[in-house]
Amino acid sequence: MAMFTLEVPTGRRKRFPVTKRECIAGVVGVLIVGSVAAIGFWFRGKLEFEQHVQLADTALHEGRITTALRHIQLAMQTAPNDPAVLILSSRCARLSQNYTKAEDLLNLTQTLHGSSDPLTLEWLLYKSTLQTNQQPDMQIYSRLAQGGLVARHCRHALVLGAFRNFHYRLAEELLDAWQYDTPADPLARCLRGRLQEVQLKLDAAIETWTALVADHPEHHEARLNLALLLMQQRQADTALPHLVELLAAMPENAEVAAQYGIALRQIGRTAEADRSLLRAVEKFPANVALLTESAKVAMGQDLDAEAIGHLEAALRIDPGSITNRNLYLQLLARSGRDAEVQEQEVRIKSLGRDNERMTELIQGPLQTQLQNPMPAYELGGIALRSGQVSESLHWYGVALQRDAKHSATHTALAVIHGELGNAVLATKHRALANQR
Amino acid sequence: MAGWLGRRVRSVWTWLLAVPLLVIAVQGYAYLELRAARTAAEADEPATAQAKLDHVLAIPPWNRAPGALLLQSRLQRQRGELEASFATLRLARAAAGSTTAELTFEWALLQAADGNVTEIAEYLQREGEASIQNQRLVWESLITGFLATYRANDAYTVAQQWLLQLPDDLRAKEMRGLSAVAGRGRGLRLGTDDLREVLKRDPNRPRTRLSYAVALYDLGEYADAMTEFRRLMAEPSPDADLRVRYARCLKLTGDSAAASAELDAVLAADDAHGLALRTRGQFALGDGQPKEALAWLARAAAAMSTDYQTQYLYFQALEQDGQAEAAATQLAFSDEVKIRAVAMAELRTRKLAERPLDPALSVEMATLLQANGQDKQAVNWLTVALSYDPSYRPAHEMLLKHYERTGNAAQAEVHRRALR
Repeated sequence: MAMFTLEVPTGRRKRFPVTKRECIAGVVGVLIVGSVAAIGFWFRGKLEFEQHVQLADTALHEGRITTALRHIQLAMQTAPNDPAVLILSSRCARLSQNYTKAEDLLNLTQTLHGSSDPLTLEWLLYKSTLQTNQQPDMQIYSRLAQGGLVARHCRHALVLGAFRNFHYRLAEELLDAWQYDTPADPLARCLRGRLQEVQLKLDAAIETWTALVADHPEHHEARLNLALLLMQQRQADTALPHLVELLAAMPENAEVAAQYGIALRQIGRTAEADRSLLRAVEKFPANVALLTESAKVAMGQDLDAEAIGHLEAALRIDPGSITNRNLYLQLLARSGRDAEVQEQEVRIKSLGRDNERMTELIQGPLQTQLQNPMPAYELGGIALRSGQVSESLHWYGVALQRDAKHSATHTALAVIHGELGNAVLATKHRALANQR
Repeated sequence: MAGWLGRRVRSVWTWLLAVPLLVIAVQGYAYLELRAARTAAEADEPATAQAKLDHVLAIPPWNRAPGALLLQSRLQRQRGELEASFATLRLARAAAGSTTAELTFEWALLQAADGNVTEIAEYLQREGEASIQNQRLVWESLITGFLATYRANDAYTVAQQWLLQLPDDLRAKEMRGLSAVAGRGRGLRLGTDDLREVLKRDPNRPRTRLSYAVALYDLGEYADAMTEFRRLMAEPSPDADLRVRYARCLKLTGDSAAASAELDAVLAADDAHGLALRTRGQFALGDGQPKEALAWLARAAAAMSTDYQTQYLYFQALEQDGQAEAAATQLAFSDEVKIRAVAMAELRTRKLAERPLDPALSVEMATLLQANGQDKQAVNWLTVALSYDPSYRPAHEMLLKHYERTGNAAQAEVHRRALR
């Protein structure tokens, strides 16, 4: 039997009668235990990953984007380049209207993992949402015929595409057909609420959202839409409980923080409103609604200079807000800044005209003259004048979908991209603008 | 000791240990050199990067490693060797077995450097936004492509944007200088200032030095141009065109003998070198030697039938030699060449810069090239016209006639169908 000698810290030697076989057995035992532990951790990680993916998928089926995003982020900690995770991220981005990110993620999936049926479907849904060339890809209708979850995704994409291009009649037809088959579908009900809002059927929209939230209390997007609509209708007391829930569920949403403060003020809980506003402004210093609210508070306390500062900050972010410009005008008048008052009056009139023209275009030629780029081009110009650069880029994109060689649109895009420092796109559009 | 060493050498265990260690050492060296090559490329030290990459590519299997081939393709693109760069990228793709994001990006950069920007502009914009290193590569490729397609204004715009964001970037300054010089006019002066600064900070840029020297020559600053040409001539195997320019500078700064000797050396290596023949003839005309000038310029005119300056100098030589009738015929011919040359210059310096995607301009260029007897280049321009507008009739008509003339029935049929 081999004897192993160990040197113990006291300097004395101690003999431990351990055989070679026992030593090897010990090492093997440790290895086995270690392997089992590692496999266990791996398996647990894999299970958690699968769970997050499943939960994200379910949340997206119901239109709960915030919840889905949380689960996707957790899944990405384990396997950031997993194809299912990338496709779900892309879907999330598409449903949040971040189309560039959605396309990038689909391209990344294609590059890393090649083509697959889920990827092909997601591309189809992406194109249907964007509705390039005005008409949806006919493949989507054949997918629709398959029924089940795939048909649901397709319907959703078609309705979103109709919304995006202001084809409300088409959106309504699609939703009618959808809800005829599945009246309780939360996704369809969500879109129905949106449609009722844009059609100015506000009472019906409130009813829709309220019913949806009652059936699906965890549907934060529906609750947010309901709360915002109630606040718009000055029903702060009804909106407040929803806003309290949303504050807990969506702590990073600046709009929720802003509306909570406004709701408190509207029901007379002024001190609480002020405290909430202060906290919110510290957290979201660039939120227009919070800046406006801070301005109103300052105005109420006769702190005109402070109020002007807040409004100027708000107008820098959203130069097209007529409400804020009117408030600003009042303050300028109070401060005796007459020249600036006149300037603002001119600007407000111009914005008013732009808003009217925008409504005319959206309800009229944009829907009826599908090959004419001019309505979209004009909307691009209106958006640019009101400082909404990404909105203007969207409309110019629509103009180019209708006429890819529309010189005026290319010229406008060359200028915008030049100002934004996008030399690649500026030179591309400049060249296309001069093409004959 | 010798016995011990001998035993070690004969021992199998020694070899079993030594060989893997040697392989690991060599592979490790290749890996480190590749990293160093990448670092040098990112730090805008192309010569160092290529030297290190050459070491890597000499070691199998690194000569088939996609990463090494990708870097080689990039360095070739940056030197303007686009065909070689495309070929290397195809090898990298084959070695990788599938497309990767890096390969896609490199392919897009090559397309941009080749002047094909329109289709991939959005992709390049997005990739450029991912990192500043990517952005630099995108800008560089764009500028190269714009310069190749006579869009000097666009090249300058991009270079300006680059310098705004990275004011200390030497490569940006270099590209701005090259763009300004390509734009001619005021750009020559602006460009030389930029290029001078670049060469002061990094003298080891022979292609930039050549552009700088030519710009100085065009500005009439012959003494300064001479200094730069001398430095270029000190490089191994200076090319013939460079030697001719150097000879001109020598003549203009009063050293006629050296100038003639330089030209004679060029012609000894290639007796049909058009530029050398013309310059020799020019010298003879300037020295009042019409007979000698006539001999040189006759050969030059045959070698450079589309060059206006050559044809006009030949006319002058005939006139000075008293051959009135031949001179009159030659004058008429040189006037035709002049009209085409002026039209081409107008296209290159102004029209294409303003309307780079206009198929009509591409057809105009093709027509002029065809009249010059440059059929291959004419067909390239017609293909470009059709890439802008696949149904552009004038392009189809010209291509139909070309293929009927050259007996290519299949291609002729393609264009005949397009015209129906």
